[in-house]
Amino acid sequence: MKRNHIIFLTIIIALIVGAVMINQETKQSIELVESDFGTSSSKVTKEAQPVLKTQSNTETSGMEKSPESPELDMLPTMNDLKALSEEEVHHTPQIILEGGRIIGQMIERADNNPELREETVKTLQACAESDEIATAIRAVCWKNTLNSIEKWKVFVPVSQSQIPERVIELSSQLP
Amino acid sequence: MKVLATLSLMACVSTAMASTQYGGVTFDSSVPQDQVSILKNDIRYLYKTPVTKTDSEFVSITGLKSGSGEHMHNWVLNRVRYIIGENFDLQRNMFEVKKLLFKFPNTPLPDEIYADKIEEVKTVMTNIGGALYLGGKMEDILIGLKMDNELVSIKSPRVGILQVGEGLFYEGFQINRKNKMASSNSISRLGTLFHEARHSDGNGKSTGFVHSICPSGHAYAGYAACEFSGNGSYTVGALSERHMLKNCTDCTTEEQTVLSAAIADSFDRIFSKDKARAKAAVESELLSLKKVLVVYKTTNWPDSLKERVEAEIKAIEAKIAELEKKLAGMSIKPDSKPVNLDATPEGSYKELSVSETSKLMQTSLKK
Repeated sequence: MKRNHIIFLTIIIALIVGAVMINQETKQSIELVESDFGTSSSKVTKEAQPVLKTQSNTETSGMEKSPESPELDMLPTMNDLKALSEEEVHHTPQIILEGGRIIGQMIERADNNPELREETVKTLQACAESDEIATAIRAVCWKNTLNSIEKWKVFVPVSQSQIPERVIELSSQLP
Repeated sequence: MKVLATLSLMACVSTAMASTQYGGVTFDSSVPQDQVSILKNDIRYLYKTPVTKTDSEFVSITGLKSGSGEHMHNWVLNRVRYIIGENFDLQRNMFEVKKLLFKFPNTPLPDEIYADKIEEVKTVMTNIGGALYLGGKMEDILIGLKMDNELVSIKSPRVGILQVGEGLFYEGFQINRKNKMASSNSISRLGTLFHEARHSDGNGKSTGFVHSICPSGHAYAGYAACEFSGNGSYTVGALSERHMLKNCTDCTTEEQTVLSAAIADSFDRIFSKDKARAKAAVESELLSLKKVLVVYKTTNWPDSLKERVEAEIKAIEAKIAELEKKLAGMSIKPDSKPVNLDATPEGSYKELSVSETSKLMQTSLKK
């Protein structure tokens, strides 16, 4: 039947030309996490943590850890991304958005608390240097490492940073 | 009796005409009203937000004459005319149209079209018009789609039919979780709209700017979630978000950083051999290091740090010299154009002028 064939073709092509989707199972598990915690004020972080933690615990190893920077452990890793389905990666995965949120909240805290600034820049630099963290997140970290030194006027040696060209290239394209 | 018959016919017609028009976009009745309200707000945001900083790369890649809301709205509207909902019954509303004078162009299909597994998924947004056009072209059938009481022949991907799903409005994908109408959320959804709008462009092998398989080593390796040109959907989506973010006056640091992560994720899917972009990256890194150098040279550091700062200044100066040397060797030859695909659309369509689309928007704003 030609009509059914075209519908089939359309679905196939739609999947390729820009279907942007989330996996039903992922959504259900996230909803489960939401209902576990309840309060809306703490929803953002608490919702993100279990999703990221589960993946990090099983996939991450050997990343340089700083006791002062629990944020580093919460950032999405390359392995976290590799574990996603094709549908989940068609558009920016939720764990990348959560990674951006963790960095943004960390910067906002340091904006309001000068005593946190030096440690925050060091954490951003460590994030940019980590081979395990997702490339897009490393780019955001590197951009903010340099911006924060200028904005907060803190001293953190950056000249010897080990940042791959891809991360530098991506960071240069950020606003 | 005649009056009664006419009235009941009118009632039927008005039920069938439940679509909503806004700014030139027709929302099919299958789109839930709460989603229509949010998308209307986004279109208004796109058109009305003052643009004080223009992203030159965005304007250049999209071919816009200016980065103003008026021009961006025009660009989108020439590629997105109809929005259908997730529950739109495609099988029931699709029909074959007699071709008469219409003939599909004798051009090749994109290489990337291939069969893959289909799972139950939640759609965020899909360019269904582009997919129907390519499906019809493959079978040499002119497809028509019935949306409420309008019959549309799919003679070009520029027919601009998008399907939106609840994923676009899902809390986990919101930049600002407390307010769906926040500027940052509009920017994110509009970025998706620009991404999908780009799928209405192209011809022959570039028709629909179909995604390519990500190369090995990439986080999304093996998935059709990358592009090898410098002007595809991921590029347009990321550049539009960057342009709008530059002009966002009420985005918080957190929202800016989340959007930056999304932008970086899109750019990380692009594998263009664009020498100009590589050069711009070195220039940007140089500029950042020079700013850091100024801070280190002009700040009154405590004595305990002075020695370390001096050493760092020397190291940064050496790095700057190294980058300047690298930059000098990166001269772009006049013939080294970026590897971009031909965006000229295929098939039969009508291009709307900026004054035409602005008129449509002004009419909606007055209501």
